[in-house]
Amino acid sequence: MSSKIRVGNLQYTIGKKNMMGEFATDKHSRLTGIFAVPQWAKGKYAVCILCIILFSSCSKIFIDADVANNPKSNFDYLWNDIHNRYSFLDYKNIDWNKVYDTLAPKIHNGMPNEDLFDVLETMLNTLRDGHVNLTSPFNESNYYPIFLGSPQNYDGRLVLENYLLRDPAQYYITGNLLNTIIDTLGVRVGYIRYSSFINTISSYDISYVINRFLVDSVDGVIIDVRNNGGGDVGNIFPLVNHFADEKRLAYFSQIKAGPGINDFYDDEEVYMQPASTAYQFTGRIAVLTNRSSYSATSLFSLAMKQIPYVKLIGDSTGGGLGAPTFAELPNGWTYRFSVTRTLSPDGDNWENGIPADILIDLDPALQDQGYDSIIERAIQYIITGN
Amino acid sequence: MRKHSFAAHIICCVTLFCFWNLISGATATSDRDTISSSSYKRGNHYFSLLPALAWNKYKDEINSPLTYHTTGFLPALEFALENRGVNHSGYTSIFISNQYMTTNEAAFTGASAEQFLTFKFNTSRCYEPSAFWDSRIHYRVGYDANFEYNHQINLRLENSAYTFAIWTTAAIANRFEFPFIIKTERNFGFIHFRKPKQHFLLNWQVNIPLFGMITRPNFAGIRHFANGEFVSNLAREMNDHIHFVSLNKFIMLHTQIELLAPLGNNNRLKIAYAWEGFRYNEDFSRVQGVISAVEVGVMFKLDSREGIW
Repeated sequence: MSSKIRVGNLQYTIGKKNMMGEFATDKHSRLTGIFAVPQWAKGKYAVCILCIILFSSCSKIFIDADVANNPKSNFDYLWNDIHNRYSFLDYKNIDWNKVYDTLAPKIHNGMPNEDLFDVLETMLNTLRDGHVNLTSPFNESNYYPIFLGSPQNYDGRLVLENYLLRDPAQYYITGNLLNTIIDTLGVRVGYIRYSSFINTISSYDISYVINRFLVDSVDGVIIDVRNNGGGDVGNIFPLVNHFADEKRLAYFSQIKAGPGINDFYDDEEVYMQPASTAYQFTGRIAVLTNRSSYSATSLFSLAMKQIPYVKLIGDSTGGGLGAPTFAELPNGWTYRFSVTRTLSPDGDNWENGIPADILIDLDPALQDQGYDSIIERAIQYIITGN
Repeated sequence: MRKHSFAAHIICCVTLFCFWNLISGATATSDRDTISSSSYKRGNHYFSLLPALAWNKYKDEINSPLTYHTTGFLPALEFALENRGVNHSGYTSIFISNQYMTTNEAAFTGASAEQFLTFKFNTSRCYEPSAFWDSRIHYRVGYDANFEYNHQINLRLENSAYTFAIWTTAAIANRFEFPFIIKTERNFGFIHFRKPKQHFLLNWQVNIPLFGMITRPNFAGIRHFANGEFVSNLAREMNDHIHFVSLNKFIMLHTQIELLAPLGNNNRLKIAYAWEGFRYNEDFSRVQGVISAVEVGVMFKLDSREGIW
């Protein structure tokens, strides 16, 4: 039993298998088998095709529909994420539910994006955290009071004119490290200005600078990280390790591990250890900080603070020891917030700033005379050890 | 920690097992050529090289509630060792793709595309318990072991730019094979066949995982970099968050439809459509995705035995 199908100028035969397991054809046939569907099997054939189609196009079974994109859903999404993952709600004693109750009534469908941004920015600024931002195509939120509520304590032009260029022959720009040797009444002090941890420190750069100081037999080193707003944590230990005399615990780090307010993974111990090169400086070292020394700079300061011959001089750092994660809202705006916390080896949480060992502000009177009182205090520490 | 190290050992064992399959598959070909038994039983071995066009949809809720999808069709590659006998079929394959993906919202925010790397290793073998529809369709059942590495690189998200979903699963493989013949004594359009009739083979394989292991980023979604290192921290993160998953937590379906046609020198042309869907339902670590690929390539015959269709 067979029948014929004509497609264009080709004629197909529908038939049964013969004794050889092949499909019977007549002399006009071009294709057999695939169309050879006996009556009883048509149902199964249809089921097979349906299964193939089903299993081959069911992406909606595997991927949920995206969260609705409206002001309310964006507000709720952000609030929930902060509630679950922000690492300092407890430390900063923030009543996050109260924040919701206060701001949720300001959200309504149809509100302009600018108004939604303002409400979300207000919500995020209650965290009082420089590591918290909201970024939309038209605006970016920041929390400024960390930096603006304190004296600046850094005058870049003063440093350049009266210290880096005091002896122009001594002023080197080695990679991203500005450095010089300051001679004060016969006391020679190596000075390094590092303006941003975004800028990579190569092993060659720091080795060259240290070697330069060692060859000159400097009495001490000043590392100026004032106004250094942080950047890549990967630049911290290539620098710190050149000043470490032995392996030391620098700090503990903890990552948020669950939605509970104090759910954190186990401590991760972070160590410094002497660099593998011969270029180590282990004399008196002063690290200059101000409130604009933030994030990676605070981690650097915390690590350096563990070295007994290092003093932090100036103002306390701005803090920002919690590393921020990034995420997206249903409307595609991005935001970031802290999801880790860092503790000193003694268990101190200095999220709001690493305290200076010698607290001193820039003296405007000395500034007018061309002196940076923080650098002068650092030189005094190197001379006297106090 | 003991649970993690045990899980790591299991992953190592599965990986070793997969590679053993790959190696034994390759060596078996030359060994079996020297054995004077029926080629009918031993089957044919092929090396397949399959350029592909692949496209993805992916949603990693650790850092975004949005679905990312491929921008345009982008090339991928699959290569495999395959064997097919009268009553068994098997393959060991590697699939690699590198996609650029974006969201629908990116059109309004100007967000740049992210990169998405996929590496899949599959090894499968099926045996034929029955045939139906007057032996036209051969049903084969067996196993599929899968290792898959998916890595988002979304530099816009900086510290959480490197989210990953890496898993290994053990699956039941169901394979349906439908050999058929086309009469070719006359030209088929512009194609001229030398033989008066040609064998073809239509296959459909569905793999359904039963259990496995998965590793995902930490709860915070951040690359842990407190010590400033990158690669070692990423590797440690992957190792620290390995979890066993069962069918209710990790749902996956892999299906491939392929058409094999004869070429000269007993090689075969392979045209395939592969599709895979997965979703990991763990709270705060949810990931969902589908990947589709159209593959066209050649199966190079590695033995001199008569071809089995």
